[in-house]
Amino acid sequence: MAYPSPAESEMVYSTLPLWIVLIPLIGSFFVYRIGLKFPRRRDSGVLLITGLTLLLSILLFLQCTRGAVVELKLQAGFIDPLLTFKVDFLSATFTLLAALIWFLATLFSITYMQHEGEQDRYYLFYLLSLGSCLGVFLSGDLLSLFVFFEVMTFASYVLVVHARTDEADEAGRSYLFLGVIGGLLLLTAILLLFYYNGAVGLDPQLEALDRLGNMRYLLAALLLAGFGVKSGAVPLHIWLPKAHPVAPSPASALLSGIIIKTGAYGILRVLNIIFSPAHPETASWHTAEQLGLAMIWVGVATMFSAAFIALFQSNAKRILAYSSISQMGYILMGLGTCAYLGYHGAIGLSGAFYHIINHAFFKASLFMLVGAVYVRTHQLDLQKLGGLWRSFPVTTAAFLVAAAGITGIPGLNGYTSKTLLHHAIVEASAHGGASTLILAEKIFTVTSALTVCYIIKLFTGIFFGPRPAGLADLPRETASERIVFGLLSVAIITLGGFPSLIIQRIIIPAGASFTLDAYHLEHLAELNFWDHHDLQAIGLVLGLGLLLFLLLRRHLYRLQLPGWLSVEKLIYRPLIRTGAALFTGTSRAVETAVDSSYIYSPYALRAFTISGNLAETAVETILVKSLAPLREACGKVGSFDNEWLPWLGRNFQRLTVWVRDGIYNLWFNILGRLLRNFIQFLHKLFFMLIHMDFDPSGIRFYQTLNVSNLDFNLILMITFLLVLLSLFFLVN
Amino acid sequence: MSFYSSLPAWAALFPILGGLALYFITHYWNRRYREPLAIVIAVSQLVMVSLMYPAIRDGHVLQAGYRLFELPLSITFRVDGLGFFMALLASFLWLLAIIYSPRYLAHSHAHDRYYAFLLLAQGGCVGVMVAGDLLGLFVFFEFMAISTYVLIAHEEDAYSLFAGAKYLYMTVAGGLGIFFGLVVTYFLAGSLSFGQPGGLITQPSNLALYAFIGFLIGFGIKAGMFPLHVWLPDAHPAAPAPASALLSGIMIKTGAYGLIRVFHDIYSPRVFQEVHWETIVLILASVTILLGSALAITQDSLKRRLAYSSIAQIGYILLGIAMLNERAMVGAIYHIFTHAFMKGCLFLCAGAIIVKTGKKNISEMGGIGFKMPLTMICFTLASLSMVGIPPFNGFISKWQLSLAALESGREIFVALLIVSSLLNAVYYFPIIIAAFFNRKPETAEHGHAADSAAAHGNEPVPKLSLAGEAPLGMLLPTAILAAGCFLFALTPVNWPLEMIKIAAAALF
Repeated sequence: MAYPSPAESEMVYSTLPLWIVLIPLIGSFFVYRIGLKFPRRRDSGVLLITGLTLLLSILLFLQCTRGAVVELKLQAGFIDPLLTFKVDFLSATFTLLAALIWFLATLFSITYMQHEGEQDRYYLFYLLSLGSCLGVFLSGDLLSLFVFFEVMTFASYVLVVHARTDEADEAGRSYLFLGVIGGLLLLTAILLLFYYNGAVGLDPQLEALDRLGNMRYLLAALLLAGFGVKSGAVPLHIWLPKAHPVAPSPASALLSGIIIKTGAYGILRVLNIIFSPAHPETASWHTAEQLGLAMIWVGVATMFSAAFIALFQSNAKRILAYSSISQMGYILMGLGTCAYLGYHGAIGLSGAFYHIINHAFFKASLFMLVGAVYVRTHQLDLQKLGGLWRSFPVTTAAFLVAAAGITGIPGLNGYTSKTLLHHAIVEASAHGGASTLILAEKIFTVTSALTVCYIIKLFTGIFFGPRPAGLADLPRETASERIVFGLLSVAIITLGGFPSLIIQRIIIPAGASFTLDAYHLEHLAELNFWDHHDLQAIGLVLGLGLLLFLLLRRHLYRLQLPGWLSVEKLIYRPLIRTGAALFTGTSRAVETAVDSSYIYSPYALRAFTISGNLAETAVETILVKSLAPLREACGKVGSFDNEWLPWLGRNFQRLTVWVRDGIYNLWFNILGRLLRNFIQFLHKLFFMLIHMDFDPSGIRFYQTLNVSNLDFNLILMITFLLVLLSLFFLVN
Repeated sequence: MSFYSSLPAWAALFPILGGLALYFITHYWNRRYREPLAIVIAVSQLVMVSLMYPAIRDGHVLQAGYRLFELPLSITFRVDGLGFFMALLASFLWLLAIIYSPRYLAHSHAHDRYYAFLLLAQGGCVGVMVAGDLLGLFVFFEFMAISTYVLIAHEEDAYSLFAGAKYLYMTVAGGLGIFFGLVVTYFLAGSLSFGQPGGLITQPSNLALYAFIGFLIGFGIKAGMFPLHVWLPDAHPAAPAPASALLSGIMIKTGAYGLIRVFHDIYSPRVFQEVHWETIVLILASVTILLGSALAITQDSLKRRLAYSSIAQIGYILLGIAMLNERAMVGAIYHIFTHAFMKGCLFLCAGAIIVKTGKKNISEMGGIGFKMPLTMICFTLASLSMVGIPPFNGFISKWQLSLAALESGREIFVALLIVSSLLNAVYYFPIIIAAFFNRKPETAEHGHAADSAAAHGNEPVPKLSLAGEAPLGMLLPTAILAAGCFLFALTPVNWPLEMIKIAAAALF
């Protein structure tokens, strides 16, 4: 094999990739600093930096042409794995392409941006975008790539909103947020890949991925969607038709020419390298085929829908923006066929890769040409433009070349790549069971015809027809503009003129990075592009396109698609609005509930204290006040206990003593008196008895007391004895 | 080691003594020495904390016990890698805030009180990080919390008094929660010292769960965890900007720090393997992230938006702590560091805008990037870090946290982190866009509406000018913080990350 595969190729360690990235990144700040004081030196500074970058890219490219893979690993504080640069031939080609287009755009910017103003900021982010974009192509693993990808999104955002109009603001917002979403999808995928697979390299690893089960589809979907946002794949394209028209023209040229290609580059790396097996003979291509088929349909949908919408646009840059989406559809379809055809997919790859290069040139050219017109006329509406070919002969000629390129006129570059792509889709439809791909081939043809139609519309709209009144005495192109347009036209013609050479020198070496059948790859070089089948096919396309244009000529400039007919307005916006309203609404409700529960918790405290007070009062009333008598009694009992009781005790004692003494005395007195009275009584009785006995009247009462009255005597005796006894006891 | 072992205690007590001295010196002697003295104290404090580095680097744990109370318990000081890192971060942020303060407070009142309490709060905050047992942590925690009240209520208007009161009462409640946990821990383990192998509470029980909930309430309130976060969105806007930067930058992190100690020194990850109480924290942290983000989107007041964003970010940290694996801990601590820098920077920017233009609402800030370009560039850098754009610090912590989520088998949190990144973008980018790319406010001032044709060249382009820029004293701390958002990430060896890896490894 003429070109060594990556495994065999020589590994070269060089800091060249780092310098290619760092020179624009660091240079941008110097340029900004200089620009604040010396605007003229700033312009030459930008030219110098982009020129230097281009020079280094050429050096790198030459190094890779000799079969080297340039590698550089850096330890960076912000990622766990190393920040790696790994440049194979594919990367080097992309890098060279980007540096070249950027250099040409710089030449164009110098005159163009004088009309836009705020060049300092523009060039700052222009160079930042350059550095990070090259970083994307030079990265050796997905994580490093992602880092540069994000930086590029933010840097190019500033280019999009440069005009700072409401329109630019709106476009910028779409660009930024879709960019962020895409970036986050990528980050998720890389994270999952890093965790489950342990490697985020850009080499074939389908064998390892197949072991992950369904996770591999999630990974593929996330990665492809993440890059798909940038590449403008339907339905993630909505930022593109807004952002490209509002950006300054050189920036639009770069956006369309290069920056959206980073998306295609990412898809290429993911779909055609990472999701391909390292050992083609033993492994299964099943996953790659499925993904490829899906990608073919995404590509076909993208190319057709965008071309269809482009027909109805009247803004020149908007037509070009939709055209970019449509052309990206071609590229995606090519990449899809490459994956679908698996080991034999060289034809799809070559078509897509060739088209990437071609599109970079002709779309950059078209945007700058339209920009050159816009700078002088301040008009992008096709209905307000026309007949300008006299004023801008060079522009018209260059436009004609680029238009011929994009429509695929035989002999120019678009013809070659579209033919390759056509071969690819035909081969794909013949390849597997997916006979529906024949339909895809038909759509491909129709889309190409639509392309012809809208490009003719654009071209005639600007350069032919009646010239509107306001557009007289326009200044001609400047020399630098002519140089840029000339160079781009030469590139377009060269790319178309020597297809075999390009395939031999660029596409086949680049193919070495892929797991592709070497035979098919080598076979590409022997393709004959002047085959009558291909010429017939393109003839059909051109004829169909021309016919369509002639038929619709009257209406084409006035027809407008209804405003609501966009995936953004129909699906995304309502979805986002509802989601956002639900999300923030729920959160607000929760927050209000929680917050007020805290804020009003003092009221709860107050209720608590009030109820406490109430309870206190109640308890006091019931338990305390009701017992007031008792409490008093208790108090009294207390004092009684302390004071009264001893007093009482003392007095009781005294009383008892007194009572005892009293009773004692009383009893004694009573007894004494009783005794005395009794003695007196006895005394009297005795004397009475004696007296009675000696009663002269003869009645002897005493004598009546006899034995029969003994009882009475006895009672007297007993009583007497009792008294005597009690006396005895009392005394003792 | 005696020199080293006395350092932690001094690190905690020096700012407190310094703050008291500063108050009496300036209040009763000479107020000209106030700001220089405050800066000198803060610098000495930073130096003192840095002096611990050689010992910490060599893997020592600095330990000293002081019988401050005649109790069976004593307050001890103990500094390991984590404590050192946090203390260093706190001292650094405090220094910047003190440098920033004089210009911010130029037209304010009660400077003596402000600086004194700023230093007292620093003592408390560093004390939390160098405390060697739960009692010391609790004491310093409460000390910091009460000192902070004075800072929040500094303006003494109705709003700040309300915010202060809300803060104070919630903090007191939180302190009680911690106290409950402390008592239960002492009852169950008989000791409160950190750094015991296997933790203090080794057996899960109901009582241990109640203690855990007590800790969670206490530290969760300080950290701003849902549903205990409500003091935060009021306190941050009410406080002076440097104080809000400190509040958001480091003081709410003491809650997270406390939870780390709870998870690793009081309990141990082994306990949680049995009972999975960390699920409570995981759920609350997720709600915190989503709720904080959603509410940040709806705020118009800049400082309020930042405050809600802090709530969301603290959710990340809690998530990392509660995932209980080493990488998650690295992510969490790194996010503490990251967030201290970026949110500190954002609050200082907000303060500069308030001082220079008096604007507090985002809707009034159109074109402010042209008046205060340097401030807004700092703001932009910090915001990009907030969203997690690769070279910035925010990316590193999200990367670590996401990987940790995968490692612990909770893939859902990856989605949560990604969604939250997007939400961050949704509420930070419009501010930047309005500041730099929107020319509406200017045209509105001139009284003629902009039609898109006039926007090209005819209209006066607002010129960047440094005339309205914040003074150097405010700009310098802001710029240092903004630079900190990405400088460490660009060096070949990320020094904080290496420090944190060592600190996290010591915990597991």
